[in-house]
Amino acid sequence: MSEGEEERDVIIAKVLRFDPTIDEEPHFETYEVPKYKVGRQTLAKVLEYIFESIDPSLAYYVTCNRALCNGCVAMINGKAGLLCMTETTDEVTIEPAANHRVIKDLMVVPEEEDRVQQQVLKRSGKSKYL
Amino acid sequence: MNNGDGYGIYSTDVLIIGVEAAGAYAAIKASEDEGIDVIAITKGSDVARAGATVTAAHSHFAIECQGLHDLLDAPADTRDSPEAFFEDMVREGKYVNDQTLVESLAREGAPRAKEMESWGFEWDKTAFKAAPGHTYQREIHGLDTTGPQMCRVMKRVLDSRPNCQIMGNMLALDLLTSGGEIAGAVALDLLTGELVVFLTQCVIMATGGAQCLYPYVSTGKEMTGDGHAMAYRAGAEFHDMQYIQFIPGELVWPPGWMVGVQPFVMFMGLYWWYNGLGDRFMRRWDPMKIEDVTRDLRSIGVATEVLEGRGSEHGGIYASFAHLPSDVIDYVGRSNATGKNWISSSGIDYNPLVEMMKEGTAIELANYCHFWMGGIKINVDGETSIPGLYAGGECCGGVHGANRLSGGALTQCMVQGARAGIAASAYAKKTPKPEVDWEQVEACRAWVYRPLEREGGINPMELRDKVTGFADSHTGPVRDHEMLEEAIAEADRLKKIELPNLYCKSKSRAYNLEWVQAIQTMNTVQVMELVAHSALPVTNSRGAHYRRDYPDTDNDNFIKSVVAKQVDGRCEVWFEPVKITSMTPPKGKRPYPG
Repeated sequence: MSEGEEERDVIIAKVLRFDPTIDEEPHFETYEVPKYKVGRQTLAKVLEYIFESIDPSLAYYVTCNRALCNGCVAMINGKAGLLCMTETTDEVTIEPAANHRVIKDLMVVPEEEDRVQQQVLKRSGKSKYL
Repeated sequence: MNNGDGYGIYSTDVLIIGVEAAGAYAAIKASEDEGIDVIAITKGSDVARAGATVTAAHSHFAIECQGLHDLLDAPADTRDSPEAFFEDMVREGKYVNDQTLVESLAREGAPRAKEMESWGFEWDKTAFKAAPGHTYQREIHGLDTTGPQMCRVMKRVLDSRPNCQIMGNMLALDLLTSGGEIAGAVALDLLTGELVVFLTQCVIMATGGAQCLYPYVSTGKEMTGDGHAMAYRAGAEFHDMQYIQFIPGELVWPPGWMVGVQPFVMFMGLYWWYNGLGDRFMRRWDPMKIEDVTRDLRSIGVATEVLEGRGSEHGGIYASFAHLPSDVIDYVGRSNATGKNWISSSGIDYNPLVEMMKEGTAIELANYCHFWMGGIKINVDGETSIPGLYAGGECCGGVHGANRLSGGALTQCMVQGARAGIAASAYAKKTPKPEVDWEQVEACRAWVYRPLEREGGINPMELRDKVTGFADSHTGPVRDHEMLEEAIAEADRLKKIELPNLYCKSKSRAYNLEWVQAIQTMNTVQVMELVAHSALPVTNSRGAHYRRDYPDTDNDNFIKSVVAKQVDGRCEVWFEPVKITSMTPPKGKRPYPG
């Protein structure tokens, strides 16, 4: 096998990072994740590796890992998809789901379920719970 | 004196922790009285976004067929009855079930199923199953999906209730008590990282199992026994925490398929299993059926090989399809008894795996933790040993005894969730809210915020791996006296030395997963302590509890319930008689599985 044809042994993952409590603007960070020689490697596993082994400040949402809860929806190379069902490619760009409020990085809440806002409403006396 | 400044504060009559099958059912029942305010919290982002109900997509409810026939108008086998279902559960639970709980589960499944139908749940009334242990075909599932559909249907009901509020992204931390009664609870708002205090006279625990005490799980990775740990710290009694169900279905090699590997779990009996020496070890357990035995025996066979150093390269055993012609392997995957083409319809492309197997390569399987039979001790109305604390679903012990029958879990959630909701609502109505002791809240703040405040120490993910690895090798399906003593000592050491030193590199409070991991790891250690203490005095083997130093099932001395509770910072354990209503346990001592 000549040079250049050799399979890359890392995945280049570009992730849009944004912590509204610290950052002024979102920014991309690029991570190198080891690639499985055999088996199946989803983006959920890629993010888990980044979180556990490279950067524990990464926020994302994956639980069921089998396309049942739809909690891990994100923009994958510009298109909406589930992190747990999308197998990785050599280079991948991951951004938070569109039309959601970003809590941090890839963790989002739908606008209508925005509890922070609900709490503000409750504190202003519009709820019977306070 | 702190008067509650600096916290988000909510006042409610009933607080429900966990809003999946059991918790959502409890919320519906508790909020039927419009005068009762209910708040239901989950650490998932919403209902049906976390927990073990949502992963029970293709699972079943076990409901006695007479009820299915009479109430759901389903063409079920009417030879079945609540009594027959009761007998199956007690026999297969190896006679240590709380029979009052079994009676309620066996009788009330059908009326609850009917109620779910009235809320819009669609049953598949054409396909009934009978997994091993069920005398009749009484397992029924939902059209489309089972668990996720159940969650979504119940969420719609709750959304229409003005007196019930669901809050996602709320990690419950500690219960508050006053004079031994429930006075409230503290939770962490994961979105902001702030503490939230709930002032309430009544809490329903519906937090599910503690699967993530172990390295491999069939559920999501959030099942960390938070409810168990909270209830334990508050002084609640636990029932038979030694009974935990494992299944050798985790694909440890090749990587990546993990929990998505159902088709190959379902055909486990077709594999030939080899250990690291190339020996078909299940012959030693059952020379006739070999691999085609019940799940508890399979998990115990696999765990024994791994523990005794005869496992596969990646810590499991080798499962081979090489004895089957390649077209049979294709047929098994694509067109099988379930009527489902797993290889192409389950969302995951299994073809590369199937190709490997057709070439004769073995895959490696290890035990995953599937279900908790043991849990918080309840009576038939979901009351625990703490006034004002109710519980329902998998976080409770007793109903399944030493082994759970397939389909029993979701039925348990409906029946116990409903009963806990009704009883809690009545309790809340007659009980005033006790004063909260704000020092308890401050004590909670101290342990919760410590990992964020420390500048150095132990990485939560590394400690989690250490704890789960240790739990797997010491409190897995196979135990002995020495292992359990070591587990007790290790839990003690972890609590004194390592847990106080947990530290988060990331200091941001907003949705800090490293911090969540630190809190969850503290909870799993608490659960490990409970399991080890409960398993130690049970010197016989029964159901999911295999003592290699006491391999007989001893019906003369161990038809007993183990009760555990924290007293003065220590775990105290004692035996109580099993609650028997109509089925007398057998006598005698025989080799496992009894």
